[in-house]
Amino acid sequence: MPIPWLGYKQDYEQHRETINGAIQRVIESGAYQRGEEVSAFECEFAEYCGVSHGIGTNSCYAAMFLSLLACGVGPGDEVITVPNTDITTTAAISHTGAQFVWTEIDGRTYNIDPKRIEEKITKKTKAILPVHLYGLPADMDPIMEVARAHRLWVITDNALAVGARYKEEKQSAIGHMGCFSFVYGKGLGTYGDAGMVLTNDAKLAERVRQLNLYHDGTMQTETVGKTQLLTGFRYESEGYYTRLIPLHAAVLREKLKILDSWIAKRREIAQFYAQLLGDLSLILPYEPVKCEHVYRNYTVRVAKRDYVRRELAKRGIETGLHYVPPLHLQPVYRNRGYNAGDFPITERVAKELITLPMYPELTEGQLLEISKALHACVSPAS
Amino acid sequence: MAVLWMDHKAQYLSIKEDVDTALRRVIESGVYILNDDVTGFEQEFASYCGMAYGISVNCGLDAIRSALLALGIGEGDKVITVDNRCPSVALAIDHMRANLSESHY
Repeated sequence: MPIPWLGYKQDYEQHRETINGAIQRVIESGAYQRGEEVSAFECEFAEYCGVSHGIGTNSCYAAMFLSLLACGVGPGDEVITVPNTDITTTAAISHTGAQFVWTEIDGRTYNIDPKRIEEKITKKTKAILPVHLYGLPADMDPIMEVARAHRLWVITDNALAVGARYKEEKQSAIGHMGCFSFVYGKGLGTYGDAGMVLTNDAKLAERVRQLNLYHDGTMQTETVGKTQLLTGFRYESEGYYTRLIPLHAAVLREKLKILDSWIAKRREIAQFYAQLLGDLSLILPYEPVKCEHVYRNYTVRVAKRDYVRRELAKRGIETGLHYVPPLHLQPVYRNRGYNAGDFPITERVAKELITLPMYPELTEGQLLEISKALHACVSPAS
Repeated sequence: MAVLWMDHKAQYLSIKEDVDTALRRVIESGVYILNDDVTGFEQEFASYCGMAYGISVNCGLDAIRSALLALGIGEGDKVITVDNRCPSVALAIDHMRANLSESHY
Protein backbone atom coordinates (compact mmCIF):
# COMPACT_ATOMS: atom_id res chain seq x y z
CA MET A 1 0.00 0.00 0.00
CA PRO A 2 1.41 3.42 -0.92
CA ILE A 3 2.08 5.77 2.01
CA PRO A 4 1.11 9.36 1.20
CA TRP A 5 3.23 12.24 2.50
CA LEU A 6 0.25 14.08 4.03
CA GLY A 7 -3.05 12.58 5.08
CA TYR A 8 -5.67 15.01 3.77
CA LYS A 9 -8.63 12.70 3.93
CA GLN A 10 -7.91 10.63 7.00
CA ASP A 11 -9.15 13.20 9.50
CA TYR A 12 -12.42 13.51 7.59
CA GLU A 13 -12.93 9.78 7.62
CA GLN A 14 -12.48 9.74 11.41
CA HIS A 15 -14.62 12.79 12.17
CA ARG A 16 -17.12 12.67 9.34
CA GLU A 17 -20.22 13.25 11.48
CA THR A 18 -18.81 16.27 13.28
CA ILE A 19 -17.52 17.90 10.11
CA ASN A 20 -20.70 17.24 8.13
CA GLY A 21 -22.64 18.68 11.06
CA ALA A 22 -20.58 21.89 11.03
CA ILE A 23 -21.00 22.35 7.27
CA GLN A 24 -24.73 21.67 7.49
CA ARG A 25 -25.04 24.13 10.38
CA VAL A 26 -23.59 26.95 8.25
CA ILE A 27 -25.50 26.13 5.08
CA GLU A 28 -28.77 25.97 6.94
CA SER A 29 -28.06 29.19 8.85
CA GLY A 30 -28.23 31.19 5.64
CA ALA A 31 -25.31 33.40 6.86
CA TYR A 32 -22.41 32.84 4.52
CA GLN A 33 -20.29 35.97 4.85
CA ARG A 34 -20.36 37.40 8.33
CA GLY A 35 -22.00 35.63 11.16
CA GLU A 36 -21.23 34.08 14.47
CA GLU A 37 -19.13 31.18 13.25
CA VAL A 38 -16.29 33.48 12.22
CA SER A 39 -16.22 35.63 15.34
CA ALA A 40 -16.60 32.53 17.55
CA PHE A 41 -13.65 30.84 15.84
CA GLU A 42 -11.58 34.04 16.07
CA CYS A 43 -12.20 34.15 19.83
CA GLU A 44 -11.67 30.43 20.36
CA PHE A 45 -8.44 30.28 18.39
CA ALA A 46 -7.04 33.46 20.01
CA GLU A 47 -7.87 32.01 23.41
CA TYR A 48 -6.28 28.67 22.50
CA CYS A 49 -3.06 30.56 21.76
CA GLY A 50 -3.37 32.82 24.82
CA VAL A 51 -3.66 35.98 22.70
CA SER A 52 -6.34 38.70 22.96
CA HIS A 53 -7.32 39.34 19.33
CA GLY A 54 -7.87 37.10 16.32
CA ILE A 55 -8.88 38.23 12.82
CA GLY A 56 -9.80 35.48 10.37
CA THR A 57 -8.50 35.86 6.81
CA ASN A 58 -8.79 33.84 3.62
CA SER A 59 -5.11 32.76 3.70
CA CYS A 60 -1.86 33.04 5.61
CA TYR A 61 -0.59 35.22 2.76
CA ALA A 62 -3.44 37.68 3.46
CA ALA A 63 -2.71 37.49 7.20
CA MET A 64 0.92 38.48 6.58
CA PHE A 65 0.06 41.14 4.02
CA LEU A 66 -2.52 42.81 6.30
CA SER A 67 -0.22 42.53 9.34
CA LEU A 68 2.59 44.28 7.48
CA LEU A 69 0.20 47.00 6.33
CA ALA A 70 -1.19 47.39 9.86
CA CYS A 71 2.37 47.96 11.13
CA GLY A 72 2.73 50.70 8.52
CA VAL A 73 5.16 48.76 6.30
CA GLY A 74 5.20 50.18 2.77
CA PRO A 75 7.34 51.59 -0.05
CA GLY A 76 10.87 52.47 1.07
CA ASP A 77 10.82 50.05 4.03
CA GLU A 78 12.75 46.83 4.48
CA VAL A 79 11.61 43.59 6.14
CA ILE A 80 14.09 40.92 7.23
CA THR A 81 13.14 37.28 6.61
CA VAL A 82 14.68 33.93 5.59
CA PRO A 83 15.33 32.50 2.11
CA ASN A 84 14.03 29.01 3.03
CA THR A 85 10.35 29.79 2.88
CA ASP A 86 7.44 29.78 0.52
CA ILE A 87 7.15 32.61 -1.97
CA THR A 88 3.96 33.76 -0.24
CA THR A 89 6.14 35.19 2.56
CA THR A 90 8.18 37.39 0.23
CA ALA A 91 5.16 38.16 -1.96
CA ALA A 92 3.31 39.51 1.09
CA ILE A 93 6.25 41.84 1.76
CA SER A 94 6.68 42.91 -1.89
CA HIS A 95 2.96 43.61 -2.32
CA THR A 96 3.10 46.26 0.41
CA GLY A 97 5.73 48.05 -1.70
CA ALA A 98 8.49 47.22 0.81
CA GLN A 99 11.70 45.28 0.08
CA PHE A 100 12.48 41.96 1.71
CA VAL A 101 16.01 41.33 2.95
CA TRP A 102 17.11 37.74 3.52
CA THR A 103 19.28 36.56 6.35
CA GLU A 104 20.92 33.20 7.11
CA ILE A 105 19.26 30.36 9.03
CA ASP A 106 20.45 28.22 11.93
CA GLY A 107 21.72 24.85 10.67
CA ARG A 108 20.09 22.87 13.47
CA THR A 109 16.64 24.42 13.75
CA TYR A 110 16.34 25.59 10.08
CA ASN A 111 14.83 28.79 11.49
CA ILE A 112 16.15 32.36 11.29
CA ASP A 113 19.48 32.72 13.13
CA PRO A 114 18.90 35.52 15.68
CA LYS A 115 22.63 36.33 15.63
CA ARG A 116 22.48 37.10 11.92
CA ILE A 117 19.63 39.63 12.07
CA GLU A 118 21.48 42.70 13.26
CA GLU A 119 23.93 42.68 10.33
CA LYS A 120 20.97 43.15 7.97
CA ILE A 121 19.38 46.08 9.80
CA THR A 122 19.52 49.44 8.02
CA LYS A 123 17.75 52.75 8.57
CA LYS A 124 14.98 51.41 6.33
CA THR A 125 14.30 48.24 8.34
CA LYS A 126 10.80 48.23 9.74
CA ALA A 127 10.08 44.62 10.67
CA ILE A 128 11.47 41.12 11.17
CA LEU A 129 9.44 38.24 9.76
CA PRO A 130 10.61 34.90 11.24
CA VAL A 131 9.09 31.75 9.75
CA HIS A 132 8.51 28.91 12.25
CA LEU A 133 9.61 26.13 9.94
CA TYR A 134 8.27 22.58 9.96
CA GLY A 135 6.45 23.19 13.29
CA LEU A 136 9.32 24.50 15.42
CA PRO A 137 9.21 28.11 16.69
CA ALA A 138 12.19 30.35 15.94
CA ASP A 139 14.26 31.45 18.94
CA MET A 140 11.98 34.36 19.89
CA ASP A 141 13.73 35.88 22.94
CA PRO A 142 16.84 37.15 21.10
CA ILE A 143 14.67 38.13 18.12
CA MET A 144 12.42 40.28 20.33
CA GLU A 145 15.51 41.75 21.96
CA VAL A 146 16.97 42.86 18.61
CA ALA A 147 13.53 44.20 17.67
CA ARG A 148 13.27 46.20 20.89
CA ALA A 149 16.77 47.64 20.49
CA HIS A 150 16.01 48.82 16.94
CA ARG A 151 12.30 49.56 17.38
CA LEU A 152 11.17 46.97 14.85
CA TRP A 153 7.94 45.01 14.52
CA VAL A 154 8.06 41.22 14.72
CA ILE A 155 5.52 39.46 12.53
CA THR A 156 5.75 35.68 12.61
CA ASP A 157 4.79 33.23 9.88
CA ASN A 158 3.16 30.41 11.85
CA ALA A 159 1.78 28.60 8.80
CA LEU A 160 3.51 25.38 9.87
CA ALA A 161 3.50 25.85 13.64
CA VAL A 162 -0.10 26.00 14.86
CA GLY A 163 -0.11 25.10 18.55
CA ALA A 164 3.69 25.26 18.95
CA ARG A 165 5.07 26.59 22.22
CA TYR A 166 8.09 28.73 23.02
CA LYS A 167 9.08 28.65 26.68
CA GLU A 168 5.97 26.61 27.43
CA GLU A 169 3.60 29.21 26.00
CA LYS A 170 1.95 29.42 22.63
CA GLN A 171 1.73 33.21 22.78
CA SER A 172 5.52 33.55 23.22
CA ALA A 173 5.96 32.18 19.69
CA ILE A 174 3.87 34.97 18.18
CA GLY A 175 5.78 38.27 18.43
CA HIS A 176 3.75 41.45 17.85
CA MET A 177 1.60 39.73 15.26
CA GLY A 178 1.28 36.06 14.34
CA CYS A 179 0.03 34.80 10.99
CA PHE A 180 -1.55 31.37 10.65
CA SER A 181 -2.57 29.10 7.82
CA PHE A 182 -5.56 26.76 7.97
CA VAL A 183 -5.27 25.38 4.48
CA TYR A 184 -5.75 21.63 4.33
CA GLY A 185 -2.69 19.61 5.23
CA LYS A 186 -1.65 22.07 7.93
CA GLY A 187 -1.82 21.15 11.63
CA LEU A 188 -5.31 22.64 11.72
CA GLY A 189 -6.79 22.69 8.24
CA THR A 190 -10.09 23.18 6.44
CA TYR A 191 -11.22 22.23 2.94
CA GLY A 192 -9.70 25.20 1.16
CA ASP A 193 -7.74 28.37 1.95
CA ALA A 194 -8.03 30.05 5.34
CA GLY A 195 -5.82 31.95 7.79
CA MET A 196 -5.72 34.24 10.82
CA VAL A 197 -3.86 37.16 12.37
CA LEU A 198 -3.30 37.04 16.14
CA THR A 199 -2.12 39.99 18.21
CA ASN A 200 -2.30 41.39 21.72
CA ASP A 201 -2.30 44.96 20.38
CA ALA A 202 -5.85 46.30 20.15
CA LYS A 203 -4.91 49.06 17.69
CA LEU A 204 -3.16 46.67 15.31
CA ALA A 205 -6.12 44.30 15.57
CA GLU A 206 -8.54 47.10 14.67
CA ARG A 207 -6.42 48.14 11.71
CA VAL A 208 -6.30 44.55 10.41
CA ARG A 209 -10.08 44.29 10.79
CA GLN A 210 -10.56 47.44 8.72
CA LEU A 211 -8.23 46.16 6.01
CA ASN A 212 -9.82 42.73 6.04
CA LEU A 213 -13.49 43.63 5.67
CA TYR A 214 -14.29 46.42 3.35
CA HIS A 215 -17.62 47.36 4.74
CA ASP A 216 -17.79 45.90 8.18
CA GLY A 217 -19.10 48.48 10.60
CA THR A 218 -20.07 50.76 7.76
CA MET A 219 -23.73 49.84 7.63
CA GLN A 220 -26.18 52.33 9.10
CA THR A 221 -29.42 50.86 10.28
CA GLU A 222 -32.57 51.72 12.18
CA THR A 223 -34.86 49.32 13.97
CA VAL A 224 -38.43 49.15 12.74
CA GLY A 225 -40.46 46.61 14.66
CA LYS A 226 -38.40 43.46 14.57
CA THR A 227 -36.58 44.48 11.41
CA GLN A 228 -33.17 46.10 11.11
CA LEU A 229 -33.66 48.58 8.30
CA LEU A 230 -30.57 49.52 6.35
CA THR A 231 -30.38 53.27 5.82
CA GLY A 232 -27.00 53.57 4.11
CA PHE A 233 -23.32 52.65 3.97
CA ARG A 234 -20.47 54.92 5.05
CA TYR A 235 -17.03 53.93 3.87
CA GLU A 236 -14.21 55.39 5.93
CA SER A 237 -11.40 53.23 4.56
CA GLU A 238 -10.48 50.83 1.76
CA GLY A 239 -9.90 47.20 2.57
CA TYR A 240 -8.89 44.06 0.75
CA TYR A 241 -11.87 41.72 1.08
CA THR A 242 -9.75 38.89 2.45
CA ARG A 243 -12.19 37.57 5.04
CA LEU A 244 -12.48 34.09 6.45
CA ILE A 245 -15.83 32.59 5.48
CA PRO A 246 -18.19 30.93 8.00
CA LEU A 247 -18.06 27.56 6.22
CA HIS A 248 -14.34 27.26 6.96
CA ALA A 249 -14.71 28.80 10.43
CA ALA A 250 -17.29 26.18 11.40
CA VAL A 251 -15.08 23.28 10.25
CA LEU A 252 -12.09 24.80 12.04
CA ARG A 253 -14.04 25.26 15.27
CA GLU A 254 -14.77 21.54 15.35
CA LYS A 255 -11.20 20.60 14.50
CA LEU A 256 -9.75 23.01 17.09
CA LYS A 257 -11.36 20.82 19.76
CA ILE A 258 -9.32 17.86 18.48
CA LEU A 259 -6.09 19.76 17.76
CA ASP A 260 -4.23 19.05 21.00
CA SER A 261 -4.77 15.31 20.65
CA TRP A 262 -3.49 15.51 17.07
CA ILE A 263 -0.38 17.40 18.21
CA ALA A 264 0.23 14.80 20.92
CA LYS A 265 -0.07 12.06 18.29
CA ARG A 266 2.39 13.86 15.98
CA ARG A 267 4.89 14.12 18.85
CA GLU A 268 4.49 10.41 19.56
CA ILE A 269 5.12 9.58 15.92
CA ALA A 270 8.21 11.82 15.95
CA GLN A 271 9.52 9.93 18.97
CA PHE A 272 8.88 6.62 17.26
CA TYR A 273 10.67 7.82 14.11
CA ALA A 274 13.66 8.85 16.25
CA GLN A 275 13.82 5.36 17.79
CA LEU A 276 13.47 3.62 14.45
CA LEU A 277 15.97 5.78 12.56
CA GLY A 278 18.57 6.43 15.29
CA ASP A 279 21.03 3.89 13.86
CA LEU A 280 21.18 5.53 10.40
CA SER A 281 23.42 8.31 9.19
CA LEU A 282 20.58 10.83 9.06
CA ILE A 283 20.19 14.18 10.79
CA LEU A 284 16.90 13.99 12.68
CA PRO A 285 14.88 17.05 13.81
CA TYR A 286 16.31 19.10 16.66
CA GLU A 287 14.02 20.31 19.44
CA PRO A 288 15.65 22.97 21.65
CA VAL A 289 14.74 22.77 25.34
CA LYS A 290 12.82 26.06 25.15
CA CYS A 291 10.54 24.89 22.34
CA GLU A 292 7.75 22.43 21.73
CA HIS A 293 7.87 21.20 18.15
CA VAL A 294 4.45 20.36 16.69
CA TYR A 295 5.95 18.33 13.80
CA ARG A 296 3.83 19.55 10.97
CA ASN A 297 6.67 17.90 9.09
CA TYR A 298 9.24 15.35 10.15
CA THR A 299 12.54 16.48 8.63
CA VAL A 300 15.56 14.29 7.96
CA ARG A 301 18.80 15.34 6.30
CA VAL A 302 20.68 12.79 4.26
CA ALA A 303 23.76 12.99 2.03
CA LYS A 304 22.42 11.29 -1.13
CA ARG A 305 19.03 12.92 -0.84
CA ASP A 306 17.71 12.49 -4.37
CA TYR A 307 18.74 8.83 -4.48
CA VAL A 308 16.99 8.17 -1.15
CA ARG A 309 13.82 9.93 -2.31
CA ARG A 310 13.72 7.80 -5.44
CA GLU A 311 14.28 4.59 -3.48
CA LEU A 312 11.40 5.48 -1.14
CA ALA A 313 9.21 6.45 -4.11
CA LYS A 314 9.86 3.00 -5.65
CA ARG A 315 8.28 1.52 -2.53
CA GLY A 316 5.30 3.84 -2.75
CA ILE A 317 6.49 6.10 0.08
CA GLU A 318 5.97 9.79 -0.62
CA THR A 319 8.37 12.39 0.77
CA GLY A 320 8.33 16.17 0.83
CA LEU A 321 10.90 18.49 -0.76
CA HIS A 322 11.16 22.02 0.57
CA TYR A 323 12.44 25.32 -0.74
CA VAL A 324 14.49 23.83 -3.58
CA PRO A 325 16.04 26.02 -4.79
CA PRO A 326 15.84 28.54 -1.94
CA LEU A 327 14.16 31.86 -2.74
CA HIS A 328 17.38 33.82 -3.38
CA LEU A 329 18.15 31.48 -6.29
CA GLN A 330 14.65 31.57 -7.81
CA PRO A 331 14.17 33.01 -11.33
CA VAL A 332 11.68 35.63 -10.09
CA TYR A 333 14.36 37.14 -7.82
CA ARG A 334 17.31 36.85 -10.21
CA ASN A 335 17.78 40.61 -10.41
CA ARG A 336 17.92 41.19 -6.66
CA GLY A 337 21.71 40.88 -6.50
CA TYR A 338 21.87 37.53 -4.70
CA ASN A 339 24.07 34.63 -5.84
CA ALA A 340 24.70 30.97 -5.09
CA GLY A 341 26.95 30.86 -2.01
CA ASP A 342 25.30 33.86 -0.30
CA PHE A 343 23.54 31.65 2.27
CA PRO A 344 25.70 28.51 2.60
CA ILE A 345 23.69 26.93 5.44
CA THR A 346 20.36 27.48 3.68
CA GLU A 347 21.79 26.08 0.46
CA ARG A 348 23.29 23.00 2.13
CA VAL A 349 20.05 22.22 3.97
CA ALA A 350 18.16 22.61 0.68
CA LYS A 351 20.40 19.93 -0.85
CA GLU A 352 19.96 17.43 2.00
CA LEU A 353 16.54 17.84 3.55
CA ILE A 354 13.43 15.74 2.97
CA THR A 355 10.32 15.33 5.06
CA LEU A 356 8.83 11.93 5.81
CA PRO A 357 5.10 11.17 5.94
CA MET A 358 3.65 12.83 9.07
CA TYR A 359 0.01 12.96 10.17
CA PRO A 360 -1.79 11.77 13.27
CA GLU A 361 -3.41 8.88 11.43
CA LEU A 362 -0.11 7.19 10.42
CA THR A 363 -0.08 3.63 11.69
CA GLU A 364 2.72 1.74 13.38
CA GLY A 365 2.77 -0.62 10.41
CA GLN A 366 3.32 2.29 8.01
CA LEU A 367 6.09 3.71 10.21
CA LEU A 368 7.85 0.32 10.28
CA GLU A 369 7.58 0.11 6.50
CA ILE A 370 9.12 3.59 6.12
CA SER A 371 11.92 2.61 8.51
CA LYS A 372 12.60 -0.60 6.58
CA ALA A 373 12.75 1.32 3.31
CA LEU A 374 15.21 3.84 4.79
CA HIS A 375 17.39 1.08 6.22
CA ALA A 376 17.65 -0.38 2.71
CA CYS A 377 19.06 2.80 1.17
CA VAL A 378 20.76 4.89 3.89
CA SER A 379 24.12 3.90 5.37
CA PRO A 380 24.40 3.09 9.10
CA ALA A 381 25.49 5.83 11.50
CA SER A 382 29.27 5.93 11.79
CA MET B 1 -45.01 36.20 8.21
CA ALA B 2 -41.86 38.18 7.74
CA VAL B 3 -40.55 38.28 4.19
CA LEU B 4 -36.77 38.25 3.87
CA TRP B 5 -35.16 40.48 1.27
CA MET B 6 -32.91 37.59 0.29
CA ASP B 7 -33.44 34.07 1.47
CA HIS B 8 -30.21 32.16 1.06
CA LYS B 9 -31.47 29.16 2.93
CA ALA B 10 -34.54 28.81 0.70
CA GLN B 11 -32.33 28.36 -2.32
CA TYR B 12 -30.31 25.73 -0.51
CA LEU B 13 -33.40 23.81 0.49
CA SER B 14 -34.66 23.82 -3.09
CA ILE B 15 -31.47 22.13 -4.36
CA LYS B 16 -30.32 20.46 -1.16
CA GLU B 17 -29.50 17.06 -2.58
CA ASP B 18 -27.32 18.37 -5.39
CA VAL B 19 -25.42 20.72 -3.06
CA ASP B 20 -24.88 18.02 -0.44
CA THR B 21 -23.62 15.58 -3.07
CA ALA B 22 -21.23 18.17 -4.49
CA LEU B 23 -19.82 19.03 -1.06
CA ARG B 24 -19.35 15.37 -0.21
CA ARG B 25 -17.63 14.75 -3.54
CA VAL B 26 -15.06 17.49 -2.82
CA ILE B 27 -14.38 16.52 0.79
CA GLU B 28 -14.00 12.87 -0.09
CA SER B 29 -11.70 13.63 -3.04
CA GLY B 30 -8.97 14.81 -0.64
CA VAL B 31 -8.04 17.62 -3.08
CA TYR B 32 -9.20 20.98 -1.82
CA ILE B 33 -7.41 23.52 -3.99
CA LEU B 34 -7.24 23.76 -7.79
CA ASN B 35 -9.10 20.48 -8.19
CA ASP B 36 -11.20 19.20 -11.09
CA ASP B 37 -14.26 20.98 -9.76
CA VAL B 38 -12.48 24.32 -10.08
CA THR B 39 -11.33 23.81 -13.67
CA GLY B 40 -14.69 22.21 -14.47
CA PHE B 41 -16.60 25.23 -13.13
CA GLU B 42 -14.30 27.67 -14.94
CA GLN B 43 -15.05 25.97 -18.25
CA GLU B 44 -18.75 25.53 -17.59
CA PHE B 45 -19.28 29.12 -16.47
CA ALA B 46 -17.22 30.53 -19.34
CA SER B 47 -19.23 28.50 -21.82
CA TYR B 48 -22.51 29.53 -20.11
CA CYS B 49 -21.47 33.14 -20.82
CA GLY B 50 -20.24 32.33 -24.34
CA MET B 51 -16.64 33.17 -23.47
CA ALA B 52 -13.47 31.24 -24.24
CA TYR B 53 -11.62 31.53 -20.91
CA GLY B 54 -12.59 31.59 -17.26
CA ILE B 55 -10.17 32.05 -14.34
CA SER B 56 -11.75 31.67 -10.94
CA VAL B 57 -10.58 33.87 -8.06
CA ASN B 58 -11.47 34.37 -4.44
CA CYS B 59 -13.96 37.26 -4.84
CA GLY B 60 -15.24 39.94 -7.18
CA LEU B 61 -12.68 42.46 -5.94
CA ASP B 62 -9.87 40.06 -6.83
CA ALA B 63 -11.44 39.47 -10.24
CA ILE B 64 -11.40 43.18 -11.05
CA ARG B 65 -7.93 43.64 -9.56
CA SER B 66 -6.55 40.68 -11.53
CA ALA B 67 -8.13 41.99 -14.74
CA LEU B 68 -6.62 45.47 -14.19
CA LEU B 69 -3.20 43.95 -13.43
CA ALA B 70 -3.38 41.73 -16.51
CA LEU B 71 -4.10 44.81 -18.61
CA GLY B 72 -1.02 46.51 -17.19
CA ILE B 73 -3.02 49.23 -15.47
CA GLY B 74 -1.15 50.83 -12.60
CA GLU B 75 0.33 53.96 -11.13
CA GLY B 76 -0.47 57.09 -13.14
CA ASP B 77 -3.27 55.50 -15.17
CA LYS B 78 -6.89 56.59 -15.11
CA VAL B 79 -9.89 54.25 -14.97
CA ILE B 80 -13.43 55.49 -15.62
CA THR B 81 -16.32 53.90 -13.75
CA VAL B 82 -19.72 54.79 -12.31
CA ASP B 83 -20.36 55.95 -8.78
CA ASN B 84 -23.44 53.84 -8.05
CA ARG B 85 -21.65 50.61 -7.55
CA CYS B 86 -20.21 48.37 -4.94
CA PRO B 87 -17.02 49.89 -3.48
CA SER B 88 -14.95 46.88 -4.56
CA VAL B 89 -14.74 48.37 -8.06
CA ALA B 90 -13.11 51.51 -6.67
CA LEU B 91 -10.96 49.48 -4.31
CA ALA B 92 -9.61 47.35 -7.11
CA ILE B 93 -8.70 50.48 -9.06
CA ASP B 94 -7.14 52.16 -6.04
CA HIS B 95 -5.14 49.06 -5.17
CA MET B 96 -3.48 49.40 -8.59
CA ARG B 97 -2.46 52.92 -7.51
CA ALA B 98 -4.36 54.09 -10.58
CA ASN B 99 -6.76 57.05 -10.47
CA LEU B 100 -10.48 56.61 -10.32
CA SER B 101 -12.60 58.81 -12.47
CA GLU B 102 -16.29 58.61 -11.70
CA SER B 103 -18.97 59.11 -14.27
CA HIS B 104 -22.73 59.52 -13.85
CA TYR B 105 -25.08 56.80 -14.85
